[in-house]
Amino acid sequence: MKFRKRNLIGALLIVLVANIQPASAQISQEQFQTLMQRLTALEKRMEQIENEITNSNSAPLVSPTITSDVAAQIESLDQAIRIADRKRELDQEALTEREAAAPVATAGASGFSLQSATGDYRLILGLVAQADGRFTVDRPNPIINTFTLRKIRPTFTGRLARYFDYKVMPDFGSGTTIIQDAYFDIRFSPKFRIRTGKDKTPIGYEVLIGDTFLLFPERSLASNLLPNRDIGVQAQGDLLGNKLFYDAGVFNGIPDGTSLSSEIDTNDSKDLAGRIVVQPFRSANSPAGRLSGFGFQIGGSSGRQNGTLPTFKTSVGQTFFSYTAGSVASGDRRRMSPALFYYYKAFGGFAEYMRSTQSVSRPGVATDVRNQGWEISGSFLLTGEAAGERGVQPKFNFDPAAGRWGALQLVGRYTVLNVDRDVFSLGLASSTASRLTKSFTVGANWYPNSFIKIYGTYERTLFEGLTSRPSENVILVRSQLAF
Amino acid sequence: MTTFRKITALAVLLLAFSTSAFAQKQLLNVSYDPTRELYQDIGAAFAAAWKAKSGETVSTKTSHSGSGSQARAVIDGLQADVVSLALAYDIDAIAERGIIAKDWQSRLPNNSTPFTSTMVFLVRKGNPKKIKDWNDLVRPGVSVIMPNPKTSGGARWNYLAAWGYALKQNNNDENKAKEFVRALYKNVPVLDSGARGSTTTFVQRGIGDVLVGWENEAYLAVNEMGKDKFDIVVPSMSILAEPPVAVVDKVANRHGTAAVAKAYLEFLYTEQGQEIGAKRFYRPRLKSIADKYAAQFPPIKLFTINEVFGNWQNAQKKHFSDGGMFDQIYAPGS
Repeated sequence: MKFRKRNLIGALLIVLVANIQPASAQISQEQFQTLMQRLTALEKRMEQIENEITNSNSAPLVSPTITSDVAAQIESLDQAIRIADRKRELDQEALTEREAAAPVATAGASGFSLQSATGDYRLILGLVAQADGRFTVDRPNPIINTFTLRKIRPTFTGRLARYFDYKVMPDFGSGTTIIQDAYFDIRFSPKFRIRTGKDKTPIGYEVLIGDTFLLFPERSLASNLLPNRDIGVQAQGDLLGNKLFYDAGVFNGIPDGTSLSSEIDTNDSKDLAGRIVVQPFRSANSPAGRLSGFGFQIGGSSGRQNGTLPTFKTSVGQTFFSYTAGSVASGDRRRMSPALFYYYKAFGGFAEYMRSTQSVSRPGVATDVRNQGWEISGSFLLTGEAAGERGVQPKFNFDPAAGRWGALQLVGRYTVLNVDRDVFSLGLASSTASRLTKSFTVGANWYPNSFIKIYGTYERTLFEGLTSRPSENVILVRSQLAF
Repeated sequence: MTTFRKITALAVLLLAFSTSAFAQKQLLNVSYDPTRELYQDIGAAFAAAWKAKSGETVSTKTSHSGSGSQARAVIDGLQADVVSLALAYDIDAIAERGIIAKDWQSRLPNNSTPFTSTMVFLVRKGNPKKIKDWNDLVRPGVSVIMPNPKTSGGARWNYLAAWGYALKQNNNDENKAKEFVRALYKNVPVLDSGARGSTTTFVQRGIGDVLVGWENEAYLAVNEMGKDKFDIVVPSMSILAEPPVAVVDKVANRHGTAAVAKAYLEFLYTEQGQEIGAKRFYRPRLKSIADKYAAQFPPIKLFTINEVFGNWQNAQKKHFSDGGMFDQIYAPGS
């Protein structure tokens, strides 16, 4: 009987050994657990047999030498299993490390990106596409009723070597190809970073709201008095727990209401520009307090510029003011723009004043021209979402099958641009120029989701000048895709 | 106001912002694998001593992994104020990138090594495989646990200790030393990436007959896992391991922590620092503390790396560089 048991154990061991894979091979957790259980059972059985032999009065049928060999085999088997298990453990650790160090590709509601595991290197792909419809209700038509591709802007933003951010944004809309943004930041800390390249000039509040987050398809008349994109070097950062943002720099300097298009300056003088934004009650707490969305800013610029003077246009591109031929910028130019803004729950709005002073001359005439403008804009989300400078996140995305339609926002704006009387009295204005221009806009914005926005506005603009000019009444419709 | 003056004013403004942006008040000590307990104790004691001396509150964070991996991490941008690595070669590698001053080793006593250690054997209780010296490790059937010299500083000390022993036993015959070390690594079933990993393999996973490693790590295992489970075997000879320390100048200067980082390393040489090290089984440099703890460090014939290999650069290039001696003698799974 004991001889048969010994043979049985030997056979089982042979089967077990035959089933053990080389240490480097993969063994599943279940297989390993099974082997360990069988090994433990065998060890117990061995002990029982040895006890039976020890307690037996008869001569032992299993020689000590054979028992020792079996024990050594079991020990060897036990080590082999432990080694295999440890190697698997180390392989798993190495795999986890490799996975942690692997680049991450993202495609989803948060956008499209590629980035290293640490986030030190990343590329975020984006797109802004705007298809407009511009229609007039006036007779005769002051503009051509048309559909147009206003903006087609692929965006490439990202980070290199942890401390260097970049953005490149060409624009293929409106029948032109131009580089709108092209800059990189050196990030020393959240409090201090340096940006070099082409970006918006830091002065006005509305001008610096992202194109896709505007309440209206086009900015106000008053924003004609501030420069748009320029090339230079600027420093910016968030201080006092993000309650104060500063941005200041040196730029080539461009006329009011324009963006630099030639990529090089036309003179040696440079503009200094900057702004400070204060949100004294800003808090990361949720829900936001009544005053946490309140803030104010002041921006300005100073420089000396000679040459081109601006023209001012309505939302649909009609020129309502230009200087007479032969008039040129000929000296100091200063701009100033304070603004108040407030966002609370579904309500959002701001008021901004702009003033631009420029030395202007033409043969025999020289004067300092002071043009002024202001606007007040408001919005209210009927569907209850929170308003903000960074757009609207609908509570429920468009899903007609589920009876969900996204977010709906009502908007209104009043804006005035007042050209200096001296421009007219000194004969610096063109014959069709408007001295006082007022515009009133109402509309609604539909946000099916955070990527799509449909604007619908009616805008009435009134002109006062040397000659009578009919009012402009237009309907602007925009379909916007942005991510 | 001229444009030049405006630009100057703007630059001053930017400088003011940048100065405030860089202020920091914490030390990060990037260290090798088995020093967790040592630098935890040192950090607490130094914080109290520094507070009493200067009134400033200083906290110390530590990071631990294989010495070579840690050096690479610092080179790649890990913001270490100080490094305490397993071997001088790893700090030299950082210094070559200009992150640490080239003369780092002369800035503190004893070539910037506040403690020494050596490599010993940890065997299972009763020493069932009768392991007494290095030549017992190459016997067939003896399973040896050591980490990978490619990633672990301690493993490089192990390797060089074995090589040095073999040279001395064979009249400096390099071929015999090579065969000896080849046979040794043939008996290593698992190569962990660091010393602490090898301790886990041997102590907690129950693999192998002998763990070759830092003396302090062997004592830690015995004291924490029970003296009834393991014995320490001191071989006839071993290598004098000198784990160095240095201030990471570029980072510390940028953080504004250069002075406190220097004081932190100097604290290691004080009586208090040396005694903390001795209690954690690092061999103290200070004679008074060395005498006090002499009984816990058995005498052992030690050879230095310079005696046998010339210097660390030579040893690294010949043995551990890609295609070097270790790559020639070790094949995974062999």
